[in-house]
Amino acid sequence: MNENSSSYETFVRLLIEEESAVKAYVRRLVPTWHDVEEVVQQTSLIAWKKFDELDDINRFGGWVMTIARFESLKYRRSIARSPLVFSDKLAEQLADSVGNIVAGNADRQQALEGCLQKLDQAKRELILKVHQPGVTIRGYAQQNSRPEQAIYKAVHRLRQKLLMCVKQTLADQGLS
Amino acid sequence: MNDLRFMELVSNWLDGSLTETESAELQTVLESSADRRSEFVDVCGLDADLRLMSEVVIETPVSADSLRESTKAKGVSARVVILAAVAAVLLLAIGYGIGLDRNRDAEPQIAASEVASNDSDEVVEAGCAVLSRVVDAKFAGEVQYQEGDSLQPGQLKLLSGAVQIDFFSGATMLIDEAAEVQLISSWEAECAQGKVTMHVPPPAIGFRLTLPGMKVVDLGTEFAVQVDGAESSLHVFDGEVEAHVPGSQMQIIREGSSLKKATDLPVVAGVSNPADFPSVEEFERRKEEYYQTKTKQWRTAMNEVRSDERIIGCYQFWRWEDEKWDRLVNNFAIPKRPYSHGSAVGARWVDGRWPSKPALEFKSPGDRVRINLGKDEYEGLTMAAWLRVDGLDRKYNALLLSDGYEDGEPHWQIDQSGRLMFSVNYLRSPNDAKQKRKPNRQNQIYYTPPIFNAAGRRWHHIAVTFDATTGEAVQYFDGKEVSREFSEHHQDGRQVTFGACEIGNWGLPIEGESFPVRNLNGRVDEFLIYQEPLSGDEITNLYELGVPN
Repeated sequence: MNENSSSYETFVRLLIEEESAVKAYVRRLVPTWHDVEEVVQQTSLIAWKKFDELDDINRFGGWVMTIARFESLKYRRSIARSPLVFSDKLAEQLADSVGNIVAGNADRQQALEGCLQKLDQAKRELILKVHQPGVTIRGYAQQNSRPEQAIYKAVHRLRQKLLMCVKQTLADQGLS
Repeated sequence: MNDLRFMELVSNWLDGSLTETESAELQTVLESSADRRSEFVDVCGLDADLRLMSEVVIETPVSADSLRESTKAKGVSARVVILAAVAAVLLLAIGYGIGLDRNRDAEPQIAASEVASNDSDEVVEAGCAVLSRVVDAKFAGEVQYQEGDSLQPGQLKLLSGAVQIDFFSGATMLIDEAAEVQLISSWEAECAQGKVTMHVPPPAIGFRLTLPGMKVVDLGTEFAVQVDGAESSLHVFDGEVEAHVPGSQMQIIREGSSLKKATDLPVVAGVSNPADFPSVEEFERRKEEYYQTKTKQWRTAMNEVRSDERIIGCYQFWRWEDEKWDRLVNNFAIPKRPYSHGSAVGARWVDGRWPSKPALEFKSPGDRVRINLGKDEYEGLTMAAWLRVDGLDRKYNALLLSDGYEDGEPHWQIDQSGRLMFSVNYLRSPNDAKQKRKPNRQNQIYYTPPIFNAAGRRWHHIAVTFDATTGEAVQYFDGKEVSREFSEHHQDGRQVTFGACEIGNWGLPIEGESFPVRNLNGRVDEFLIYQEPLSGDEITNLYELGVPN
């Protein structure tokens, strides 16, 4: 029992360290955030079930990412009829893609926090609000009686701006 | 496909609003270009990060229970307990930084270290810099910062005096006289008004300072800026910096040069003069001068306190520099009570509330100051002290405890949750004794709400007054009343007495009792003991005449 609960603690600690990376990874492979959560949940369960098969916990990050990759591709097939699901070929390509931002979670998120703080209050609120669970841009626009297209454009611009800022911040710090 | 169209498609994909045609368009681009795939992956990462951060913003209060409930309420399929726990901890981990949104008054707040109440016991802090030197500084707003305070991102407005800010990145900022700066992160700040000198050692190269009309990126150097209304100037004393002025090319400004920019006017180059700006040397000189004056004023004010006819212990923690045996802690009360001087055991002499005011530091389980105030009995008491708490390591952290805790003797300590805890021990009356209850003691215990969190190097004034005729105890924190209580065990006609006591520890308990470790982790630089309860106004006065800045 003792051994079990301590390995549970180790697992949770490792999972906490990797969760945001796993979510960021799965995000590119499935169409909605709800799908991301489903896949990450499934990934966590499988990782926990197989945890005693992992002989070197230093390899936890890569190991759990492999599970996430497999689960994402499997999940994709289950919703394959959706027009939004990418082709198998593209999904494989994306799964292997590295991206321009290769900084670690903590550095990347710290950079993003800094960039968010540089936005004025209204813009920061907008970008955070449309990323809240269950919120869509359409829903947000309707709720606030704002033209949908205007919100879309504003969000596109903010995403671009934040991305530039994060890249620049990481480059300035020699981290990207 | 141009960047805008690509971004638009990606945005729609992230939002789930992509049409079938658009989806095909996006796929074609992604399949054919590795660069676009990299961009796509970056945006997805950004989206995931933003979603994780947004979850944090709306989930208040932060607790595992509320998270589980809200998750259920949203109709997401029942989650594994693992994830709820993970998410709860994640909230704590990512919660910082976004704090600015919640405290949007943007006055930098003291980063109160908080102990998480649920899954994690880790102390968290949300600062980006430390206030490392303070000379006679007045700040706009309610919070008056002290040396050692952590600073959160936000506005810092200095009305007068001088401060040094050490950013977590390693960059150092000196501010002199009225100035307004915005702390953005460990790596960035803005100067909206005033004069600021920056020192940027190698680990902090890349530190950015923004002025109206100019952005300065440091390349490892010492430089200063001055903002006066719409006019900004930059002066480089050592090394070089990048100056970015909108509308013109980035310039490298080298040692000895300066750059001026006023609204609507072209940039003007010039020669810099270090003497016009805050310097560490000047800072130290002023600091010394200020604290010498401060010490003089304080000693004069204390003369009145010393000769108060109610005072029985006036321990000012004054060290005699040329004294070989520096273990003596004089009782300065007038008239003199020669047998009441204290003796320091283990505790080291260190800086007190301000440099040149000595204090004793208590760290090890053996550290203490022993005093003996005799067996005289009084109708009440007051204890008032200046101290700095560095940690609440013990279940009870001693302030002043009588050796035996015998009939009528006081104990004053801080418990682990940061509450002041005052108590007087009384033997049970003969009536009680007949009922053969054990143990034969009756504590009167008085608690304040939790007030200490051991954040930073802040000095605080604490006081307790006790009236033995009514059983009322009042406790004060920084001159303000924080608790007032009568004990249900109180009986009239019982007096208080001190006998042999210890400041900062409890070493000689009564025979047969166990011997718990109760040493204080922190510093004490003044401890006053009176034979009567002082009034609230008097406590406030004691606080005000001793405030460090």
